[in-house]
Amino acid sequence: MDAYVYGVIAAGAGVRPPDEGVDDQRVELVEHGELAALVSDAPRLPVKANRRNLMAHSRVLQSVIGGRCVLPMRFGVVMPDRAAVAEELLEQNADWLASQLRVFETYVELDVRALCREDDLLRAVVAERPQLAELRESLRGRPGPATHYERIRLGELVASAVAEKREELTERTVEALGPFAAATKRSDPTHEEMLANLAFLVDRGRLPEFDAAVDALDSELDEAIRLHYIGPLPPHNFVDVEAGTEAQAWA
Amino acid sequence: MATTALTSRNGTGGGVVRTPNPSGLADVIDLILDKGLVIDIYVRVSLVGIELLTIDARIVVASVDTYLRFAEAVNRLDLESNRDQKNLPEMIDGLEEGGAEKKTKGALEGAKDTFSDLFSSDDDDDEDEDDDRQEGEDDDGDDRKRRRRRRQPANRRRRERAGSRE
Repeated sequence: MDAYVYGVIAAGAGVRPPDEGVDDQRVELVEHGELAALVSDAPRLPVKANRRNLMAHSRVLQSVIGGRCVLPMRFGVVMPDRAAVAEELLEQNADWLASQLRVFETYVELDVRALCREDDLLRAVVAERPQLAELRESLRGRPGPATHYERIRLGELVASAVAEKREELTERTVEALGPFAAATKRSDPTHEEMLANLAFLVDRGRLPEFDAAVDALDSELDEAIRLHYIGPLPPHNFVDVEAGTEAQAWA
Repeated sequence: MATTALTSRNGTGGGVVRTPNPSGLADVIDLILDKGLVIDIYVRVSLVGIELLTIDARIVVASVDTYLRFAEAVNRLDLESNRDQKNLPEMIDGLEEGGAEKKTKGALEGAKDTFSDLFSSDDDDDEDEDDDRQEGEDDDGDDRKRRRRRRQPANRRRRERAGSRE
């Protein structure tokens, strides 16, 4: 039976995986040496990337992260059977996986996203830039076709102002929270109302400090901006840090 | 204008609550769809819909179309309805004398519409319907997978580091 793989942990940890994984299959451990993979049967291929399965994958990982380090697999990794998981995943990559587990042992990922409703964002952008306000006023009441190029110019200016706003808020967040994290990862916003999309790798022991820093940042930001703060998460954004180089710089 | 409205202090207290688990599909997609370890030859997943979503949502196209929509959104903006923006600089007051009655329409609302369309019926309740809809697409799975992979050389690098076999 094909085996769906969620992630890798250290063996012998007494982890009890949750009952239901992708396609409602029972999650079990496949152990090999010092390593164990969280695995379930995959009766239907290809695995569907629907809400139910995506949430199940995440839930399995989250059920483990509370107590220990888990190296998360991307959604949709299916191997021919459990023997292949033991040999081709755990045995062939044993040294690398073990070193990654050591590197991330005491760390969790915390994600911080800054969100702002679009009209609030545009209002702020117009307020800060008199040039935009003037251009906007000059277009008022004039027919569309006659102002085509001016409207393009206005939109272009708005787009670049929004981009600047994103950069500014991203840097500000990194400045506020980075000192409490071992590593920081910037990602592009995933939708229009997201201004900053950041992941931080934080020592479990520093979680209360980091919480306080997020709270402090939030109280300083304009109330139109909402921080979406998630974690502790497996190091989704950091597992591809190459062992032995960047990783050890903060380990 | 020197002040930056979006980052100015407003004196309200904090109150961010850390959500222990990804709370919605958007969070989860962001985390597990293209991040994490991967053994590429063993990725067997039907990415119907989701792939389109991530493309739609992530690419902010710098095109005339985008600019026109931004301009439209700004023009419809009612600068006086500042319920949520008490601390905006006062200079903008009075810019707007009437007009702009219409509710602001998001400049890129299309992306969000796509988002909700894709998943509104994709809940646990309509699992069967969802399956039917995706079943017909399964044959394309490999194709989609390959296309996706070509666009993401980062995954390949990750795989090589993982030392997985080719």
